[in-house]
Amino acid sequence: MRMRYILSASIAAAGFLAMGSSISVAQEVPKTADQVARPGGKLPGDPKIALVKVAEGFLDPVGVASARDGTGRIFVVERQGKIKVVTKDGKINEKPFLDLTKNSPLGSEVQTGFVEQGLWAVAFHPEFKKNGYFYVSYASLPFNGAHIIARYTVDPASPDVVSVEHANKTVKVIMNIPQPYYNHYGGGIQFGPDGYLYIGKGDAGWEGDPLDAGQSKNMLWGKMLRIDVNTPDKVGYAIPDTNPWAGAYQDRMMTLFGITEEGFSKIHMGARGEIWAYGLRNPYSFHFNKKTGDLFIADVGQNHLEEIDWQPASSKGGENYGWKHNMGTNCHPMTGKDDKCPQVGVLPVSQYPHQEPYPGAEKLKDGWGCSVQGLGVANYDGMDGVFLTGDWCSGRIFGTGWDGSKWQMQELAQTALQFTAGNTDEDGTVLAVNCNCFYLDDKGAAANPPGALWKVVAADKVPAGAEVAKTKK
Amino acid sequence: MTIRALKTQAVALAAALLLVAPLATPSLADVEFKHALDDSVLDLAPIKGEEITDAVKSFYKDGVNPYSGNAEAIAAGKTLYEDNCQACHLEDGRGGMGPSLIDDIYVNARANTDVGMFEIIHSGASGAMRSFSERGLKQDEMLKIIAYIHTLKK
Repeated sequence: MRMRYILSASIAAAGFLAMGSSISVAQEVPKTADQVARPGGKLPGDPKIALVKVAEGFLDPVGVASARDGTGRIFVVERQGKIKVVTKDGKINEKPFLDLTKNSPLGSEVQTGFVEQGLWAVAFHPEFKKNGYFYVSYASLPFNGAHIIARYTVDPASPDVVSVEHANKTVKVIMNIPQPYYNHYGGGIQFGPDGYLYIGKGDAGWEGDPLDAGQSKNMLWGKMLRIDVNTPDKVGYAIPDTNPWAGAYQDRMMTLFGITEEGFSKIHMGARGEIWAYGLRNPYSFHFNKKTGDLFIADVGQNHLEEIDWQPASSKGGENYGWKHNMGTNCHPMTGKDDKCPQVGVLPVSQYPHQEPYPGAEKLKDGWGCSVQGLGVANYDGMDGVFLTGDWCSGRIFGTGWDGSKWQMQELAQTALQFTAGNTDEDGTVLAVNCNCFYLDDKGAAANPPGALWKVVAADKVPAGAEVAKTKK
Repeated sequence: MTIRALKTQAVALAAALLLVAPLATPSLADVEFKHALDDSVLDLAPIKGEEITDAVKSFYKDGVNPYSGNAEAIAAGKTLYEDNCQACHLEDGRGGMGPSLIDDIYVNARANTDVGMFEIIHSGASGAMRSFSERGLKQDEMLKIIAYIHTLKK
């Protein structure tokens, strides 16, 4: 009896071991810093990519999206406050799809004074084809730079141009979030597979998160927000009841006895119901894997590290990504290569350094950047759930993916482009836009040299005659 | 006879070269200017309102910056540097958002030469180092900036 018990246990153990070595493990969030991927890794299949130019001549393009309505149109967001339509055959319509620079006799709707301000993003309602709803996210000039998310409606009689009159007639303001400083707005918006609108909200600025926004659950800044926009016209939005702190406002009576400490820990007095995840610095670009529903967040770092977070489709929200106590696997403020501090919340899945990877470090010659821009999740040409990011300073494209047992981060190209944003088009191809708009180098949203729209293809599938982005040999 | 025939041929060849040469190579360049990222040949055509100065022409020929050590050009270069470069590379060139211009670490192998610096300023390198030609800076001004940057190195 005893013998048999031991025998069966050892058989089970052997079976378990065999599984571990031969069957790949479902991807998971790293539990220790050494599991976080860094440049120098290898993605499965060692993908080779090229960027093919789709169209050019956009003024500070900082956003791009597909309406997924079967038309094949690509919508490019210009920072100044216009959205341009690129038709299926790559032509740019002369008249903008939406023009927020002319919808008031007092001038533009959009504040563009600082390069992080402007019209950032457009997202189309999952039922856009039926209801014509699309959402924009921008810094408002009339509201002194506050972050506005508004809905507009397409006139079915004019699918490519929402006239100023129609725009003003159909506009519905969803949110108006005050902004104390002119940087770190966030601004990206995307509909999740659950039909809710996700908003990447920056920590509201300055540097070092002086407002302690990332960790304060009573503020919208420094978060991923999730809201339900399917509300009556007079109701801006609703809070999904499955948001982690949707019911926090109901905490009312203090009971000292009969409640466990775990029970007390679930009280989040005053937490904002809109919050989906927190502890973020400037998560303006984030992308869902359309195949799995997983979410990747590119969180722009401060002086030394750029961070990429991931949550599975099964996430219930409430993740704390650690800002401002941590950036990537390190401490904030970072004091050295192996600085020691508690790891707050959830680790990223990958990270890459700036040229000076920690204070006083020797400058890197390779594998660095300064500001991570999420482009999109690629599920083609050998890439399976690879999150592509482009760096604003170094022009590098890094791919982050799971190799069956751990996360990998691989540099796929170094381009001459200053990436600002990306997205996937109707058939899942990853798109990217680049500007020529760098801080003091900024000549103004309508005066900088124009940027372009690109798509990511396999290096051996570049169409004949296509213009390809320069890459480092 | 043989000699004369050869001579005629040579004259004809020379004439042919003279005829063909101006059509095939409109550039004055003896130095080959290449993009820092992929070594593709740069387009040095003048931008709107730009005159290719004698200093630039001379630089095309031998890659030597005629403004090196020239106090007047260096003073002009300082102003241009402050307008265009110091935001990222800082006023003393030690580097901030952009790399240091005064240490001996070069991401791009040619960047420690005047030709390499000119290539990067003119046509950009990667990411945030944009083409300053596209932003309206003239090639003569770039040479003055380079002359100034040298004075920052100690």
